[in-house]
Amino acid sequence: MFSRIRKGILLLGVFLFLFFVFVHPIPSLSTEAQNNIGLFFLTASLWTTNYLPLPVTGLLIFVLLPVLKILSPSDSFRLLGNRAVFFILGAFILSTGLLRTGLARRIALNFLKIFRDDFLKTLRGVFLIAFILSLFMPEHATAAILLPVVLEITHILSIKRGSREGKLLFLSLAWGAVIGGIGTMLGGARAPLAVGMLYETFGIKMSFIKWSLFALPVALAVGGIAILFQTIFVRKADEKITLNKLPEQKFPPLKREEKYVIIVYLITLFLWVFLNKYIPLSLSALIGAILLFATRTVKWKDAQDYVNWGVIIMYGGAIALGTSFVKSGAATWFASSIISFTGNNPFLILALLSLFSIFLTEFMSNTAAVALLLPIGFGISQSFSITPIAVTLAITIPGGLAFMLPVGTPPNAIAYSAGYYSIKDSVKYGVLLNISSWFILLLFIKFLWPLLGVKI
Amino acid sequence: MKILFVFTNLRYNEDAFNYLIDKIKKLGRASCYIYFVPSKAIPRKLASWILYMGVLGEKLTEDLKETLRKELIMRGEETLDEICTRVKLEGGVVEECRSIKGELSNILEKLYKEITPDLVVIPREGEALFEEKEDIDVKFDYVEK
Repeated sequence: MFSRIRKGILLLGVFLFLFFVFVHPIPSLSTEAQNNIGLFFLTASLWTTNYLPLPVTGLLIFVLLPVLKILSPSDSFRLLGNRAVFFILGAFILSTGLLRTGLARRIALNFLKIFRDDFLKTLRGVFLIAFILSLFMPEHATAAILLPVVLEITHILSIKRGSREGKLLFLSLAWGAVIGGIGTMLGGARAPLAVGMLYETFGIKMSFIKWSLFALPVALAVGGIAILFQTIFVRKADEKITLNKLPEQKFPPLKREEKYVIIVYLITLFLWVFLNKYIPLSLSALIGAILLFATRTVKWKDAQDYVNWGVIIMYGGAIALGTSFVKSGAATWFASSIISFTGNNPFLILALLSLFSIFLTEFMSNTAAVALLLPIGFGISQSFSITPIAVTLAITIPGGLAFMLPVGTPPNAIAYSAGYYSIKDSVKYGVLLNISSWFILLLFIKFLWPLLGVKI
Repeated sequence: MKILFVFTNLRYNEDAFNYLIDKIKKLGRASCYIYFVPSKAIPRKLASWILYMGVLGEKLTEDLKETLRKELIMRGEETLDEICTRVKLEGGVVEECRSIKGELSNILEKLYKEITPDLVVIPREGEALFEEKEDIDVKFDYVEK
């Protein structure tokens, strides 16, 4: 059935692309804007169905923008050099240090020692370590390095596949990585991409700390709900399962290269937090990355092995699509079409955008979901005088909150791949978390964001 | 009657196993040769999800695949023990119960010559050592003399 739906989405995308490019059905819109809308539908269908690999769709954007005369070739290619792309690159190389030296695994195993007494504590331990690591490195890398650790736990505790304990353990891994991933700009490419698009379109800069001030409280609140769910779902009998069976694992003292990684992270965080007025975030990320190479902590081969370079093209393509979408006027048209349904109520508009973002991110790469929604959001902010920062946050933060389907986000796919729970399970538990996190976000939009200077 | 039952971490399902048990029950007594052939591949659906995401670097992807490969092989060995125990409980005689490494087709050919079975049961490729089952109509192949 899924393959039929995918085919349908792809065909619809191609049809809408051809329709807008060749028929030009909206006389009031410029040819460039209509071509851009066509390209938007084509990209959306390709990113949803993954008919082409994500980076190849990115390349296609760079090809079609000049071909459809939306941007000149040099303007189109220039957007690949966006500061967000270099921030992501720097952040990914920094995380290579954590992964290659084994520091991330050491932190995880040491952390889990605190949570040995009963099964509920173990669940919380898995959730919290995934959450914490995802604040400092991409959520997909967190899930990938924690998967063997969690599998080890299931073997030691003789947890069977399909059992409630197994389901909750692996869901905790996915939830921790996903929720932690929205807390800072380091958890994935979404936030840097959104900040890059915000700067490219409106010239508005957003610092690392400012982003975290908005995003981290949401992550903490949603994390609190996830922990509450764990408590509710764990039966009393489960508490008999204890990690005290786990043999005590002794670690050798920190290696020199692990110490370097810690120092470089601290330096980079210092630059991001205290010197962001003088040094752009992307430059600080690259300085951190270069320090790792200079201290011989990471070799070029490691960066090649741990970073997926192809996906950088996808991010560049997303920025190019978003920027052209706003500049051509396509975003404003889209926005006014949507607003005709909602009226000019900024809170309702943000609520709907965030809901749509949560929905869309369940079915496609969350970075792609943000990249597609943000230009429309920018159009809305232009048409209805909503601050673009509010729109960026209202789309990007929920854009990371995919809890139901493995296709939504890599941590879900990685946790699911162990086979301890079914899609039915993740939908059952995930939908509750989706709904709760949306309500939490609305509360923050209404009450906290105005205190932080973003009035709705 | 000699029954040869061969499964891999990509080829196992309850229908094939139930067919084996039904056969043993009907016969009353059967000599069973049960083998698990660990496959280096990981289920297609898993592989495509991991690769589709496209965000993991090569090393993390390989590490992840290796983790899953080990996990699936371990599950296969556990399943082998469970099958053999159940066959014994149902009155079958377990002549052999072990894992064999190698190419499935070569192993089958070799076992067929050595054992000269009266019935060969091989589950079709699916996702049975993985939670989600493939939606296939025919879940196993069998050849009976």
